[in-house]
Amino acid sequence: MDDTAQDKADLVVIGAGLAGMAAALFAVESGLKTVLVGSTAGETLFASGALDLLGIHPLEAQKLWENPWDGISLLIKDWPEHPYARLGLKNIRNGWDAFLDILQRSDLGYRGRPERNIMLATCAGTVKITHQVPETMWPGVVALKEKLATLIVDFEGMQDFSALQMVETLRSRWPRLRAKRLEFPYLRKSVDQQNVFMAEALTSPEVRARMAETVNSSLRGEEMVGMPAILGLRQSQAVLADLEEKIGVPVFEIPTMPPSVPGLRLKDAIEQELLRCRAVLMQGRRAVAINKNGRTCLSVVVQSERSRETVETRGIVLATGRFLGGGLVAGRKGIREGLLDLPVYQPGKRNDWHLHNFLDPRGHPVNRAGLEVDGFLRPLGPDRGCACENLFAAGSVLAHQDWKRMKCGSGLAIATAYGAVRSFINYTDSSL
Amino acid sequence: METEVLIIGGGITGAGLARDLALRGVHCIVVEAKDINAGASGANNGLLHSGARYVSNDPVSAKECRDESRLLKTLAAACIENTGGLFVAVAGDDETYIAEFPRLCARHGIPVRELQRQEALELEPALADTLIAAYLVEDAAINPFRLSLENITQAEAHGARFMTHTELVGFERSSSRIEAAHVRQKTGKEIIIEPQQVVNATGPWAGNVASLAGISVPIVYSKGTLLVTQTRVTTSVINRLRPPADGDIISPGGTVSLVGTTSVGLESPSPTHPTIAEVDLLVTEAAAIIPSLAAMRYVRAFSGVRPLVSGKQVVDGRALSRGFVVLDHLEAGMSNFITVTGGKLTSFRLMAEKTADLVCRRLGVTAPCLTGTVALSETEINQWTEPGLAPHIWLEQPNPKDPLLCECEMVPLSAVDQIIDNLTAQRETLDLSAISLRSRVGRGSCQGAFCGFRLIAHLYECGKLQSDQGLSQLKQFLERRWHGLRPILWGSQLAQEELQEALHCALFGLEM
Repeated sequence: MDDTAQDKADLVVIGAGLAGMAAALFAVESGLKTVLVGSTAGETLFASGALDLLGIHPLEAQKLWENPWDGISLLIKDWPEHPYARLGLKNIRNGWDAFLDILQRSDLGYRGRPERNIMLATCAGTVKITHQVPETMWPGVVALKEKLATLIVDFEGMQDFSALQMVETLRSRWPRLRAKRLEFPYLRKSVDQQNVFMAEALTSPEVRARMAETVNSSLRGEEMVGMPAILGLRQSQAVLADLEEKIGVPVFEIPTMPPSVPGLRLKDAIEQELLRCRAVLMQGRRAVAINKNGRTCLSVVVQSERSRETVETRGIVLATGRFLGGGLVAGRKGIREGLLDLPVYQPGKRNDWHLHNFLDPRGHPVNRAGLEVDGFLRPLGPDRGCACENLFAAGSVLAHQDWKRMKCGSGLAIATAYGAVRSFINYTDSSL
Repeated sequence: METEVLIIGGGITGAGLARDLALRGVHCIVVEAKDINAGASGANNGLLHSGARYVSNDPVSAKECRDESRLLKTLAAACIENTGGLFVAVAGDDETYIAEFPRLCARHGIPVRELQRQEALELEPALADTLIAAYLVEDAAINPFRLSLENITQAEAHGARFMTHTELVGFERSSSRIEAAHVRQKTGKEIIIEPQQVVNATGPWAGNVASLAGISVPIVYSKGTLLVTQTRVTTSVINRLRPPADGDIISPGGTVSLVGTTSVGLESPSPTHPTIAEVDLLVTEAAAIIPSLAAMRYVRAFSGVRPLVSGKQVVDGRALSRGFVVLDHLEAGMSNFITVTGGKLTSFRLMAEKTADLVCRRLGVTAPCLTGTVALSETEINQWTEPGLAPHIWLEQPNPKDPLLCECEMVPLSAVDQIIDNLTAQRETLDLSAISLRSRVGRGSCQGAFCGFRLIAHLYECGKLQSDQGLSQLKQFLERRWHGLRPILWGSQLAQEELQEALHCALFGLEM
């Protein structure tokens, strides 16, 4: 375990979920020498691939917002501690637009309605409120809205996706749906990661041709075809276009249970962009300590299986996520922050963490636990001043939000990543 | 509908009684308001007591346990893992009590062997090194779900009829007997059953049911809470060697361990949910003998209600012990109504025998009890309740054509299909909970996050669900599991819960 100082960075981003990836992206776009350290595959793996901005606020009233920006404006007034309120409307919009611009440059197109939320049917037969979806899901948004006659297909041997379940559950809302189970041209023996394997297989034109043939022979005049989100690990738009041509009607992807292929694509697209911009990706490695001098972070200690290295840096973005990501650690008696033991805003006692019904629409108080920050998104220390002048936080580790219930996960990740990087740039400008 | 005996309650008492009567050739119907083992029979530590636990304060129970556990080990082997048990004390425990223990065991004929400290630690490396005394006893682990299901299977094979989700609404009585019982099925349909004899085997609800016949059976309700660990921590049953108190038994249940119990008085028989205070108490107490339990990942907590009887019309005179009672309501003017309650899992067979003896005397049936000699059935379909069995079968012979529906507990699709077919054939309610009860689906560390959804999809595929029925079943299932999850959400189980909420709320919007 040699302690060797080698790399020097402008900004080290800790965490490889959507917030960390977005922060690294914004940093390299601004010309910063950026290092991304991530110990897990990132929770984007579990994401549907759709990007939520704000769906519901306030939770008590379960108000759904047709225009997410109107919702955000009200949220900023109602809840000054919410990270969106800390950022302000302009920063949220700039970050969101900048992120989508970067995505447009990749082969991964995203689409939505200007200033509008959209409704997306899930594999559970429920309808999800979101703001932007991959192009490959877009025809499904249209089909649901117009209630078009649509064939939903699933595949023999693929677990966690039942066209019949989806069709039956949606029946009252979308009557002209029909389910059909088909054989997939190639299946591997284990059902584990089957959808990732199928997505890989569909990058082959022969596999697509054979699949298109079976879909074709099942059509009974439907205007569209929906299928699980497995249309290629990469170049999904080309895969989709080819299938549509062969089948003769628009085709769309439906979000699945994890592992999520659209989530993998999103992660892959951002990674490619980061590498193109010469970011250093230290994946599969864990930040284990931060060296400080007073209130200034100097370096991050990164641990891999065999070695330990110290990355010197001028600033840090903490995007370590919540309990699943390790950013927050819950014991029986309280919640602490996983890396620096920063103060964590939390309900008083464990008895207050969760409500008595899992699906209580108000959301569990523990969801609002996390790091409190100053106006520059710097986590607060025990004295309520910023813990370190060059340490910023982004994403779900932040307190005073409930992304799962408010349907604002991607927006929170992207906007706070943007805000954190902007704050860092302002900090370096002023300290130079 | 007519029958010789109507049994109210589908826990182990009702199931055991039905088997006993059926083997004697007596026709019976069991009505259960919910499902098999819905009360205390499904919420206990799955412990087959050697009797050692009761030597100090309840000698009658001690001897009953000794005899019954020996009998069941031979006659119900498929439901039992003969783990053996230890009584252990750690520094600070009452030394007089420790010294007294082997003498009391000897007096009541309970085999016990003193272990050297090193010997005990080798046998159970998880024990605290503050250990000061250890005794080996004949405790074992018993699977209460398989036990009830096998009793039912065998009773049905001999003509008994089981009706789950069938609630007793009231009795039609004359001056001296119950003429008929009105029961209501889940569909709302009411059925009238005309029995010759009625047995109230409803455990903590015995007082409520008796009051429907105008009879008072005073019950004291005691709530017990237990914890399920993610992995099994000991080979054998570990008892704290001290007067019975909170958190002093850690019993193995296949791939997991159960940590119990607490004892809190309740005002009514309806089980309340486990609380955070109870969970914390259990963790603290149990960690004194097995330190790894402090940092253990728990997958669930659950609570049951023990029925304790404080009455006078006692036939067997065991009311003063923690044993069972058979109450003949003849004194109260009812010639065909009996209540059996109290007792413990280990003595279920004896409870059934004593009750059936009384019923048969009344009916003029002279056939002897056979449950002390005839082995309990071992049915393939009931084996899926056994924790750790499915992984064993699957690892030995993985079948790629038979995918795992529940990955935590490794329950294959074929097992679930068997259960679905069986429930369908018996016209039982077919839902997520019924399947979970008869298999291990949803009981592993994901607590239904993945397999619950998968099972719903499968029920659609089999044509057992239509329109959005699956959605409401999934929600109900998740809410039920939540009661057991809420008090143990910290550490990695909270992380697991975060994933579950990300799926069910952020992706599916089930709360909307």
